[in-house]
Amino acid sequence: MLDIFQKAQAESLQHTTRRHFLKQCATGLGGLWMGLEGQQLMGASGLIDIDHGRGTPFSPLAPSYRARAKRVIFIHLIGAPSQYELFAHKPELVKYDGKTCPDAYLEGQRFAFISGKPKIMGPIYPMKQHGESGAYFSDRLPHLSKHADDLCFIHSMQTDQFNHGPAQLMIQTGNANLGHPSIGSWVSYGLGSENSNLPGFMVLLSGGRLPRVGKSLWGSGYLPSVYQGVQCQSGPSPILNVQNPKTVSSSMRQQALDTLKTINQRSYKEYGDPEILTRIAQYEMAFRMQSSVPEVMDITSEDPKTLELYGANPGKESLANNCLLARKLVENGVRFVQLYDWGWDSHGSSQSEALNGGFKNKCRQMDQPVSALLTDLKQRGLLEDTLVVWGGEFGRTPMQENRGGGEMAFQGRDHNPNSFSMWMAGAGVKPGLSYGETDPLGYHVEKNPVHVRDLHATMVHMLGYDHERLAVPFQGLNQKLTGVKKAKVIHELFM
Amino acid sequence: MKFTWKACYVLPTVILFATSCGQEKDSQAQSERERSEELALETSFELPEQVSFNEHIRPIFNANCTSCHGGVQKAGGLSLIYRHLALGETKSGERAIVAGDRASSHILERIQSDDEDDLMPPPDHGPRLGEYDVALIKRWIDQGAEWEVHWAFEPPAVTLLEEDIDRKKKASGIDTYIAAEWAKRGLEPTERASPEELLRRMHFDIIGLPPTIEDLDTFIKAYSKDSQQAVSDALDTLLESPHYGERWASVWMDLARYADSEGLGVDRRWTVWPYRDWLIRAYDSDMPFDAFTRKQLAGDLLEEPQLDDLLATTFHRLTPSNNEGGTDDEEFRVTAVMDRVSTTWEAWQGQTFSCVQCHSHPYDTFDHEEYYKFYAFFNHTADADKGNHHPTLAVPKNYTHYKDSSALLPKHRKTLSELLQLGQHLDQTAIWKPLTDSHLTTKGTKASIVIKPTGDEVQADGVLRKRTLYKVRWQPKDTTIDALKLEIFPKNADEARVFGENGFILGSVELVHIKSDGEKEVIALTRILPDREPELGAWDDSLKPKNKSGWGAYAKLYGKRRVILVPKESIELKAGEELELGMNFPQVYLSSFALVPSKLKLSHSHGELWQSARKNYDDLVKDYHKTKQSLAKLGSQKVPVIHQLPEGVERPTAVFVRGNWRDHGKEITQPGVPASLPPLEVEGEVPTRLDMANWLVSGANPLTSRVFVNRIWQQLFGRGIVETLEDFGSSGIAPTHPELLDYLAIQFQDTYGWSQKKLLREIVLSQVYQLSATVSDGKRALDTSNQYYSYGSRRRLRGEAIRDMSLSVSGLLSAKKFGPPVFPPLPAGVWKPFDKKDKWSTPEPGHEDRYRRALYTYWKRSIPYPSLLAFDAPTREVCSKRRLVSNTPIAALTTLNDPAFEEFTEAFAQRMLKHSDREVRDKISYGYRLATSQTPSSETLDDLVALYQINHNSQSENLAMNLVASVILNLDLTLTK
Repeated sequence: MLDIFQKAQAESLQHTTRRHFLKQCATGLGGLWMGLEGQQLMGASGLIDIDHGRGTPFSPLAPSYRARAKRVIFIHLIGAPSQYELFAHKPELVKYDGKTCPDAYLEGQRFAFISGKPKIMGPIYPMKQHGESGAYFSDRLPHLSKHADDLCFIHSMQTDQFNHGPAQLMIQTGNANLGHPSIGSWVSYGLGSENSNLPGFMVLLSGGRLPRVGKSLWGSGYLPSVYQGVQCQSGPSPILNVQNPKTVSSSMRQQALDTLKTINQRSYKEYGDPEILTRIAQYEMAFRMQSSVPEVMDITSEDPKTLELYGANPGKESLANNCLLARKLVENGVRFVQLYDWGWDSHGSSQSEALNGGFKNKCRQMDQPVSALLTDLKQRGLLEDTLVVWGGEFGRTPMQENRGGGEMAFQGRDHNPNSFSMWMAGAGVKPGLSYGETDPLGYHVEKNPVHVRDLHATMVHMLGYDHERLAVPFQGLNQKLTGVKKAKVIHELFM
Repeated sequence: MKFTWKACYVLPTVILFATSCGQEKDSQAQSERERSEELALETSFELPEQVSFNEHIRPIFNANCTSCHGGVQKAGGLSLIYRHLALGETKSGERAIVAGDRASSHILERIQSDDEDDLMPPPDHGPRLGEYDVALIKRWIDQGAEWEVHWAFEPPAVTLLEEDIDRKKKASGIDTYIAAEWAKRGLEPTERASPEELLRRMHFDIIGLPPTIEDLDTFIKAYSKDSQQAVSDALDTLLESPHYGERWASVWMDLARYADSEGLGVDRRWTVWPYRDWLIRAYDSDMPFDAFTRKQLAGDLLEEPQLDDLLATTFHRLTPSNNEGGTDDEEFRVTAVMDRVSTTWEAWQGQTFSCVQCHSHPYDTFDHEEYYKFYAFFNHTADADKGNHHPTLAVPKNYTHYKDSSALLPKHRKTLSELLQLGQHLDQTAIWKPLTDSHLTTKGTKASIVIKPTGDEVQADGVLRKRTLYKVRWQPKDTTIDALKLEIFPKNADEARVFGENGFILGSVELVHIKSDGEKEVIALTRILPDREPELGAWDDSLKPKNKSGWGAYAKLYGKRRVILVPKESIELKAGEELELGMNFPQVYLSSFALVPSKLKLSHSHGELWQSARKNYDDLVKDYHKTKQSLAKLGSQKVPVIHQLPEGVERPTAVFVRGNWRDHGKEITQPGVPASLPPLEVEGEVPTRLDMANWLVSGANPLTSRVFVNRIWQQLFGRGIVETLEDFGSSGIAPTHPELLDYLAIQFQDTYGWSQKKLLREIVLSQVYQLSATVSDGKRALDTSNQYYSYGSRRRLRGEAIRDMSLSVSGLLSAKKFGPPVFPPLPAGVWKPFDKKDKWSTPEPGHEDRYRRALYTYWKRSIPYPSLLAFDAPTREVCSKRRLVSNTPIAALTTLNDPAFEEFTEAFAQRMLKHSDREVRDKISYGYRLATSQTPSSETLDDLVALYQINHNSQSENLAMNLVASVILNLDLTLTK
């Protein structure tokens, strides 16, 4: 039975206009929207009408057209893993190993660390073909190579940036400058969450320090702040402040929130300010999150076999735990799960940052859990409509790094924005496909280039939106993830 | 009374309606249709008698046409931004618009065509124009297709007659404009707010803190006697409150992108808080906005700038800096300069000028080249994204020393400039003999001697290597040597002039006299005369052995550099004896670039003039060190500031083709402002940043004052008169009350002489400010988003105010002002900075720095303070013009559970418990009033007491009261003003 308050709330929600959320929450972004309730129409500006309704910013929305992917797990290997030591098979590189790089090859190129005349460096680890697709994997990936026929490789990725900070921003927000919404924010803004007790966009870091650009990588830029990624951590408070102070039990909190609600309802009766109703709803969701978040973030209750599959170790911060958590989160309706792993910047300047050093450990820490994630998603039927994306912020050079023109203590490669490899899996991407080609040394793309903005356009398309129209007017432009330059959807990647 | 209300602000609804009508298919023949359509229009729509370009036509063009026929693309040779282009011949040879001639105006054919291939806009670009719009365009063409300047580019003008402003009835001219709109829409304002509501509103609006119980009692009493007088008195007290500046500084800090860390890359800590203190003082003293503008944009160019003036320029040093290994400083210097351009335009002009960096503005009258003319104002500053944040200003930690420092600085600058002049003089007047037959040995970088007619040159072969030593040995032809000169050249002068080349730092030098018997005697070089003050280290650091700082080009070389080295005494050489000069270049920059020169040349000199030069130098250097020591005694720290490059080393500015900083197009010879705005007045020969700052606040600039008053209005009413604070351009939302905006703009710049306090005074004393927020549903429905201000606006507190309010209510608030950033409690697991040296150390409970106002909290860009972020604070990486207010569970969890709030809750509970010795009910009532400024109803009090009682049965008194305190701190009434 509805009490008086509930009736008032229902009435208020009915008569607030469909643009109310944006008016209130995004102050004005909604001013230019038009269209009819429940439909995705093109407005005068051609933008998609995004309306979650007042106070429910994560209400699930239907995309413009049939979506291949309902949710995304994006694994970003911070530092940029070397394609040559993982997936890029370049026999010529073996041939030229140790030879000085020809001048013509270096003309007009800018490097972060290489100076003078570097030498070509052959792949450090042997590679061979796997599966029916015959995709190449180095011997560092004994688990992942078993998924050769699940993965869809893009070997012709390109970006504009060759320093980590701007390049990470580029991959995450489509812009090398600060202040733009991340892809996860766009997706949760466009589609909401499938679970009203969990945020639409969650971020998991495998420990260590923060990526250098920090929160901006999962920031909401000019979108309402509610769409920024919610950063999770291990321990009793998996997201900030979700745990009550030690002296407050759950029942005490419940009583207190009941009193809070009663008094807030009284304020609503007095002022009639609909914002009070929203606040009441947010406190209710906060309370639900206090139980739902720790529950979904608790991996101790998982089957020991599952823990073993991932190599997960409850209580630790690791990519293995995060891969398992990513599965749990998407299973529970989170729209976009962003994973960050660190330590892939193999320059050869120290043991830990070397292809013949720390890189081996990184591969070990990544290979099994990522492979387990694919296996697990598949066996649960989730891979069909979950898109898994794997990659770094740029690639590495076919030349060995020679920082300051000298010899390096270890083997490593410099930053290469001209070409790198990423892969996708699930959600109707063509399994076993290797798309795009690079020159014989793998330094530049020769065929089917895929710029970061094309990757974004493709991902947005898979989620059921036209990247040109998933946009908001801000500062005189229809701002979008893919930026002002033309981006293309790579249809060849789809089944 | 004679009003000329503009109709355009209600027009969009009509246009939308018309658009859907226009989508209906019409199969009739065109001419017939046209006739009947026009007839229909005459009856169904009332076309305005005089069609206005701004009100009627530009919105149609912007919504439907300019994305292809605008500033970026001029499809078919047609642009609808400027009249001469719109009325000119298009590529097809036809004219789209012919003034007064419908039949020849090709545009009409295209927008009404039934042929999909001909129709504009093309069907896949957007919907067909509505009939109403088409009719408007026709009438506009009939009436001569007159163009108008966009409203915001016209100077503000008060259109109401003086006698219309009934000053007897209304406290302020503001109410005349507001009331006129009410009358027009049949809106009735609500009652005046209760004294409690009003005082709370004023407190948060003016000083960002809640009223105390004493404030409330005093005010209520005075209000009952003479309400307007009471408001006026309370307002005066607030405007003079020591907390006024803190509240307003925090607003400007969003625009200034103020942060205590450098941003991008490594996000290290930097010392910029003295600028924050400058801001607080500027607001406290009500510094007029014109001076506030001049100092921040060009304080360094003012005549005899004081320390304060120089410190103000930190404003534009708050651009993110990138010190990631292997980054090209020039790239991030350019990014910073572009940020300065955008920020200046956004903060002062409300224009989206950054659009113009890649191409001409899509809808507004700014062209591509004009961006770079403006860019040129900022392109001649000495900063270049350097790792040490050069140039910096030594700012005393203690404000009381500012005066001494201000006195010493000119003296120091004078000595420096005399030293530089001495060097220049000697360089030019002494006779210099280049080296011949010299020999080179190196460590690190490989190099060789190249024999040139002008003398021997040392040139690096290939790769520059770190820790390089160049040793040059030669047999001077003179028997006496008084000085050596070292010149360093870029490898490619043209390229270096634009992008800069790898720089160098001369860490140390060693001169050896090689006698004929092979004996080597070290000769002390005791004087150094560089061409510029070193950016790394002190004046004579390069003379110290095994040193790493000193004279050089840090970290880029833009052109030839020169230094003169002078030994203690003249060097006397016997025939055949040799000299050997060792030059150490020890620095590596950003773990990538060896700061080693690739081309250098030596020469030597002797003569009478060196005798006096030596004395001259010694005196000056003594002064230099003396003043430097005195300055050091003041306990200074280095704050990044804006500093002009010395004359003669200015950077060239060129248009960046498509915004690409490495693709230089047309060279820009002089800085300038866009032609669509009033002209720049130039004081000297070349336009300077100071001229530009003066132009912004000249009074002729149509935007500055409007943008400012709009921001103040938004702070007080929750929405701007122009809702898009960030966009006063033609794509922004038009003002709801254009005349009010102009009236306030004129009041602010003319009547009040740019005084913010006076402006605030007028607004707060107006009727509209003082309306009650209690509004019936029926009334609310008539003005849903309160854009006509028919009731008081209830707004959630700003992020900063939520912390400050909680501190104040719990009795913890520290009144300490100014000083280095502080580190209040932070939830576990948040602090994992990329830069491991950046520590977050929270003072013990009880320490005043644990309880400071939010604006003193250490602001790290990559890890913003979570409880501020939860309440919509931006990360301050770029200029943020407007905070979007959200209402989220994350915010709820913050005030419920964040450790800082846990502490506030406990202290608040204790404050209640310790309040008098009466019963719990009174204690809770007291707390409720502290937090909400209201006396609780008996029902509410019953509920709170019940919560206390239930828990007191099972828990301690403290825990039970904590729970009550937490409820009160989370009430909507508490979080709202």
